[in-house]
Amino acid sequence: MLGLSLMMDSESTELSASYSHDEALKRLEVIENQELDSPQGKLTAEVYREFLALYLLNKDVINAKFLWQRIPFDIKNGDAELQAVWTVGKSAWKHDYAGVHAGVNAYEWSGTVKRIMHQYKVDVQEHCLNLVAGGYTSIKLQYMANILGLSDADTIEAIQRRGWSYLMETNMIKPVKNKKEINYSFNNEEHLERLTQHILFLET
Amino acid sequence: MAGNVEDFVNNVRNLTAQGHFSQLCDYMNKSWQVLFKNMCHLDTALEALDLQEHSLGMLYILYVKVSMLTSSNASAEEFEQLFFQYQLFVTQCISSQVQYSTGNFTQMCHIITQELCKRKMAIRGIRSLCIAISKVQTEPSQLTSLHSDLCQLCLDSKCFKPAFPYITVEISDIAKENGWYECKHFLSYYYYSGMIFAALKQYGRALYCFEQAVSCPATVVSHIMVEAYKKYILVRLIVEGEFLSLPKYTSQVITRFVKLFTVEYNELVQAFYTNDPSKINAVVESHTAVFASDKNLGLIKQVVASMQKRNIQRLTKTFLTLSLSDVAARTFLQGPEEAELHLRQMIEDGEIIAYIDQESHMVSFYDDSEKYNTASMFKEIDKQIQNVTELDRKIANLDQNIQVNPMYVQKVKTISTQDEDFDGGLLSTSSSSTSTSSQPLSMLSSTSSRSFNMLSKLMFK
Repeated sequence: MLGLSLMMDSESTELSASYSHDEALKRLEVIENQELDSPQGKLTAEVYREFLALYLLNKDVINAKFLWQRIPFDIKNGDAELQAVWTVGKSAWKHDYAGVHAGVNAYEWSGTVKRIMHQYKVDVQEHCLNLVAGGYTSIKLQYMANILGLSDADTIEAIQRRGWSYLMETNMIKPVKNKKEINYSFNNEEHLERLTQHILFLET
Repeated sequence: MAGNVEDFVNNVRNLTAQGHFSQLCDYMNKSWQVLFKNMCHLDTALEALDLQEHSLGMLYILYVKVSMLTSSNASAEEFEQLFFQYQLFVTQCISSQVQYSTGNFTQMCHIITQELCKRKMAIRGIRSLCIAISKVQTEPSQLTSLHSDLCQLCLDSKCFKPAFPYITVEISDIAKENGWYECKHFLSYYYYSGMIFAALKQYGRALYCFEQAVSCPATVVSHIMVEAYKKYILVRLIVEGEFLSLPKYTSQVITRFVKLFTVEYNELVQAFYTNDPSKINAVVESHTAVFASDKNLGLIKQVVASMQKRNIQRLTKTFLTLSLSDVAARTFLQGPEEAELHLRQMIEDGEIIAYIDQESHMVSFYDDSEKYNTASMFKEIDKQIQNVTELDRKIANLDQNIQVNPMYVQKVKTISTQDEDFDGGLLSTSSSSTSTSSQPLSMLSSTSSRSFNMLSKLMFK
């Protein structure tokens, strides 16, 4: 993930501050409440843009879709950036990752949305790499470059950083399967207490 | 202010000051006429009372004002003013006073809900309704008639998140609301929550909700049940890939008559069993008008998609490797590209475990690699065990309540002499207790079977 963000275009290196998952969740909650508390049940176009982009970043395309449906017609009709966010959302709905990257690159995003969309692009790239690692034994370079939204050369660099191999003759990438992360972070006392409770339940 | 309204206000003040709330309710129940005849003075009366002190009295006055909405076409301005008063009241009223007259309180909220939906501003009512529920409820797992209103507002405004805490909680009690709670509220609560879950693609939970609506004890087939049954069929096809029969405890009248109302859907089930998309599409096309008027086309699209998925999943059971064009041919897909797209999507959603090889255009299928030895799996099992323990506690409680119920004791006394199966008789007489107890029981089967499955898998490892 770090590797990827390094090799993205110079513009994104300026926005080095990434948008963390927790931050996105917190901000989403704030906006959700704002929507419910607003006297007319409406937000401004600016907040709607951020709202919609945050749902995408949160991998919550379903709620993004319903948000888009409930945004008042005059607001979404009069805001090009909002429409652009949803163009990306539509591609995400169809799992069309090439479309997502094209959508993100096609618009000159403003302020907060810019930060979210760049983070989103990075997240989607990471997601695609994991998807390929978990679902392909060999994949065409062109195809890989498409779903990563990168040039051929950048794609090769990205996959080699992951330890995957690229065969020039066949133009194929050989991904390495994902290793399952085994995380043994247990709180022993808590664990013991749980087990005691279970036994107690079974005994009574 | 007219004389009798002034009397009313004075009485409210006096009785409130003395703390005689039941008496106040009796008095006000006799005074409806006075309030209805003096509509123009009601605002002055409201001003004369204090929200923090006279919540009960203000509730009656506000209820009269709100109930006029149903008969007259209030202008937008009038409605705004009333809606503002309503919001202020709901957020600031004293819960303990409102508890004396939850029936009127919930009736008022029902009317406001209907008005908001009619005026296409459903989202504005969500926050105040959540507060209203908290004022009526005695505990978070208690179902009130406002739950279905909240779901309706959320569906109407396409804003589902606020309803989530209310539809995911396990209901263990139903509010009586001075006898105003009707089975309509119970059925529509489960029907609407099923719809919300289905919209969010959480089909497992949606299935549970529709099942609750369909299997509720009944002597006649209600309209809500028929609609719930239609969606139940569709969701069941999506979740389980087959539709055999309703749960055993479903009322006979439902199992017997509901099929007559859903001929098109039965045809769809038969087409689903053929595994042939062209057959199911033919059924969908020939009944499009019916499905569209039932507003089930979206779900039906999902049914068709899930059939496609099942066709692919079936392949994984027979083959280890297969060429993409073979996959396409065997699952009625257009070509290898489409097959790859479907496979990729299913791998992404974790529905199959397979690896695609773009070099040789082959796909190889693998078995579930879950070894049940990770920390997250342990946490999952732990959660399920806790759920079951909690459920056991609740059932023990319910059981205890029934044991000491005078009606039950009476019944047991009379029937034990006849030495007959008294369960059937008891179930039909005390429908309120059965409707509450049937939920945890059926829930027990779903949650526990899941965790027991997992446990048994573990033990055999």
